[in-house]
Amino acid sequence: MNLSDLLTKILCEDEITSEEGQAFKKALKSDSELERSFSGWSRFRAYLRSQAPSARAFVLHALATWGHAEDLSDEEAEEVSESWKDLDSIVESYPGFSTVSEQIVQDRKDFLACWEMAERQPVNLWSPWTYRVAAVVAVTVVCLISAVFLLNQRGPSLYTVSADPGEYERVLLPDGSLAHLNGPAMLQFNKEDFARTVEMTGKVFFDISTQQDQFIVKTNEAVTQVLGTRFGVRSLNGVSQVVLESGRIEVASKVENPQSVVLVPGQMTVVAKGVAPTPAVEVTIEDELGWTGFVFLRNTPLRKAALLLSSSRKVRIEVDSSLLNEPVTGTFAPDIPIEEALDALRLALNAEVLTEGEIFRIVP
Amino acid sequence: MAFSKFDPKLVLRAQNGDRFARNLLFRRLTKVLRSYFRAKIGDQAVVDDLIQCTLLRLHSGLLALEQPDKFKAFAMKAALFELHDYYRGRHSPKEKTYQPDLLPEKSDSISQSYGISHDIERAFATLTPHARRILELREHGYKYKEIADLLGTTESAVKMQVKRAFEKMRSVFVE
Repeated sequence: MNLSDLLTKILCEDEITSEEGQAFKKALKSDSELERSFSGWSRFRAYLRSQAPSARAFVLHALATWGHAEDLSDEEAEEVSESWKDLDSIVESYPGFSTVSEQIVQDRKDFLACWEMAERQPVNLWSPWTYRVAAVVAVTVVCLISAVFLLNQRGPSLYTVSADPGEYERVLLPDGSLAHLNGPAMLQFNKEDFARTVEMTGKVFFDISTQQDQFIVKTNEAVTQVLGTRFGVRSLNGVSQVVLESGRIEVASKVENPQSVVLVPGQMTVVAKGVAPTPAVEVTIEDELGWTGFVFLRNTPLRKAALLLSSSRKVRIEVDSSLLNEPVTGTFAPDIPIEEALDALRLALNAEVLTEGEIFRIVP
Repeated sequence: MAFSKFDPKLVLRAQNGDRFARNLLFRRLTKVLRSYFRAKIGDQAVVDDLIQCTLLRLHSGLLALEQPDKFKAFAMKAALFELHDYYRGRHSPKEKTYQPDLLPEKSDSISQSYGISHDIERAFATLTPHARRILELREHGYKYKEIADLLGTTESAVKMQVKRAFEKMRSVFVE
């Protein structure tokens, strides 16, 4: 590479190799004109840097200048007024610094947008003290015993997410639905052409967003079609177990004259190959969906809720004796921080949460 | 009134030493900072550093916050201070590597030792306003790509301006 190209690379801050760096150093030593011009260039840049206000002064001055003085504390306002003339003069004299000042206002706007977005996001995945009303129309869970069919459907562009045994993965699907994988589990879907269809093996809990189109969950043994609901599917050893947490679903085996079972929240059915679904049975959600890693509370006494959360998050939670039997309802995904879960309970109970060492205490 | 994750009561509790409230507040704030710095900088390691520095700044200043309902402005300023501190500290490591003797380390010593010398004054005169703006933005710490975005042009156009500026100044410095 010739010297001119190398100089351009250095001026443009493009990547250079250490050999190129050495070559440039050598050129500076041997070419006095290049040395003087580059030295002058560097001094010019250093001079500009010396003129730039500190980040703090720049930010405060920009906020005050562009109509956001209300963001400043009294002390900061005083600080700005003391240096106002100097800063004004710098910003007016240097067009680049004037652009920085304007950009600071944009930075402020961008920060506030992030803040508003965070405020809008629900604290918990699901409402903590009431069942979220799922606008669920009756859905059909059709069980197909046809691994060959599934294999034939697999295209080359399937996106795969998997969780090893004991691992948890939360997957946001293109339509806004959520899949919670509890390893061992594997989920595949077409990212580009989603069409509300996924394939899975292992243990996955679904929170399906309600839309007009059906959502299809395929396992080696079953095809589950829903509109919007929350349910867990365990597809292990040729048997599919479906447990419904909210909404309403219909489960049918794929045989010549299919028989179906309607599930309401808190019910379970099991479908084995070529056999009709077992009748719906009432189950305890906390027990049957325990594998999901979720904490399900359904009018659960606070004493038990604290125990479930303690065990799930590996922390110690103590409850004041006056609150032990208070019923609480809520659902907490595995990735909800313990502080958020406890704050939800605190608000629901109008209680307080204290931190004592490594212990959380819920008190009136 | 709508529920706020940064309720002044929560801020007040944090100020009064409630560890649970403080942890909750800072955990929620971390999400805001993460999305903000990700959008501004992108580089994960830098984003993590900026979050830590901002949280540290807020942590040490929380007690002095007189109005808990101004926590949003308090956090915003801390994030902006850190962001622009980061820009200012981001001068090209390549130049430092290869021209260590030519770039004084501290701006204070620069202004004292150099002031605005005659040749620097003349160098300014060779620049177009556009080129000047680019060089000044560069010395604030923006990268050429960021400058291009700020000025609504391309990175290669910005680099071309820098190269031309150098060529124009050359005559001043070699005299």
